[in-house]
Amino acid sequence: MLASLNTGAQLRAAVSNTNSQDHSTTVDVSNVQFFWSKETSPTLDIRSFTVEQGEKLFLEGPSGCGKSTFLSLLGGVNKAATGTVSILGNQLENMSGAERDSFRADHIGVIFQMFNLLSYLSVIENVTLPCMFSEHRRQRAFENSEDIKTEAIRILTRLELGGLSILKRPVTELSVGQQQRVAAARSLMGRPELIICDEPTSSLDPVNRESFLNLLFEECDKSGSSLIFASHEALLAPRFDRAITFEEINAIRGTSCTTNSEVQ
Amino acid sequence: MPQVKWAIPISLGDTHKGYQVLGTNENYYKHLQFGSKQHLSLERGHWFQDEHGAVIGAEVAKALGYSVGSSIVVSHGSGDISFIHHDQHPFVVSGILARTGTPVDRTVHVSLAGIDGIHAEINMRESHLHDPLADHLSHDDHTELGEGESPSISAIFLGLQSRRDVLTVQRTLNNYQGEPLSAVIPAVALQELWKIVGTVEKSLLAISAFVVLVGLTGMMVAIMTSLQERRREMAILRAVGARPAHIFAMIVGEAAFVMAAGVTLGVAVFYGLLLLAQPVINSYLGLFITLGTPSINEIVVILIMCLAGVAIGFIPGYRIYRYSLADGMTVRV
Repeated sequence: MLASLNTGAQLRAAVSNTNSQDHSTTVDVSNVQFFWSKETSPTLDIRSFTVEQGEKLFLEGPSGCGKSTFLSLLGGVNKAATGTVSILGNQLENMSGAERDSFRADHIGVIFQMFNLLSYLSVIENVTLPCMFSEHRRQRAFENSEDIKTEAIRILTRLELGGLSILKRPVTELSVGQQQRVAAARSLMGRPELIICDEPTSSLDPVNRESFLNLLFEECDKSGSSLIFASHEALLAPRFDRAITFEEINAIRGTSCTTNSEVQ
Repeated sequence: MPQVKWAIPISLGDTHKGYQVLGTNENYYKHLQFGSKQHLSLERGHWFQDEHGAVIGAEVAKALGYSVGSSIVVSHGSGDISFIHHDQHPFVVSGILARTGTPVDRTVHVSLAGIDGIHAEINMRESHLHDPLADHLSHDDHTELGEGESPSISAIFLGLQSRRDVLTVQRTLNNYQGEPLSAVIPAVALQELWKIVGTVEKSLLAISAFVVLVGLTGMMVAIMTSLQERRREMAILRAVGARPAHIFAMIVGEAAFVMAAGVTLGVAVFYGLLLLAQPVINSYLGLFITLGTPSINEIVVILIMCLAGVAIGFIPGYRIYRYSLADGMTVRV
């Protein structure tokens, strides 16, 4: 069924071609304000935020403070009211909703805090899911392997999940650590230029967290992807190229931190 | 009468182990049609030649284990238990008819002379069991029936040369003064019956419509309640690049799939049950149910049901569309 959803390939191809070559800056956000539909005061007010190509950025902040909202702006799910969000040289606010969805499918991998996987798909189907929505990432998957299934197994093997016993198991029977690594494999599939993680390690114990980070870093280096890693665990910060707190970039303070995540 | 093409006399009133005994002649075999204008055919043996011969239906032969040459004793009256057995006048099975799926299967056919023979014996024994119609009939000249037939006739099937004569013949017979006769056109009688049954059929259809409606509502409620849990799933799909339209299509597709599966299962169960019940109904009620391909009407009903399933899917589809716009990639629990 998912294969049939892969429509509008031309649109996607057009979007893929819009990014100019040799952009050393992967993410460039300036003067962005964001309002939830019923709010009068902005949830986010970000003067400047950049991520260089291949950079691993740690974004620290307590939960419920607009971090997830900010990440969804970068992913193009939500649209900024003012200012520019530029990913790989493409300004997201100039795109339609469908174009932003295609752009996200082509260039961005996402890892959530937990429950990243679709329970009715197999491990390999979960990993190859982005290729169902993006011709661009399917093509890039072919650069390493002759088909996307082989590529999925290759990445899973690198994340120490290549064993047949794991590949055959339903995803709901995997441990949380294994599930997060499958999610990482999915976000790495087809080497997207930007990987966004929203608290990916907070459900992991310290041992699993270390190995998850090691493997994620290794794979990001190999594919040259930039990494934005949002977390409230400040002790992870030293391992990244750069660490900033969310307060540094967001000018909005106070009570809005706790209420906004509840607004629909 | 010149309009009459053929006539089949029948004489009822006796049974054999619960099966109807029918007195008739060879016209029955020659002219009686059933189903889609099929003629009777003998599976084994031949049509009875004399007053001791009997031709039995397929069901009778199977149930009682008779074959050509078996001897049969006929009882007076209907029902399994009768105290008057015509054991002085046994019949010998001369032929077995092929299965027709009609009451013919459950009938023992003997000659009118045979019926006459057993009743003559009764009349001798008990004079009060005398058939008043028999005397009248014996004076009439039923030329179509041939010579030497028994007068104890219950009814006569008439086949006409032309359909146009049917009303004229009916009126002539109903106005006949010589004896009390009433002419019935089976097609008209059946049509009147169908008129009554038709109302029942319509109310059953209305009930089915409500059952479908309840089913659709149930499916919608099931999908709606699952949506809340599935917002996470939708967030994952959105994160890997699915558009809200994809998610809408998935939900509507799910409703359509459930509906199509349900309809397929329903049709399969319907045919399966019919297939299982067919022999049972046939042996207990004597009704033969044919298994055919669904009619155009039924196909239309099935299609309407599938479309209704898709239409119902639009409601949760629209809601998940709104959710996915509002939630974006944020996983809400």
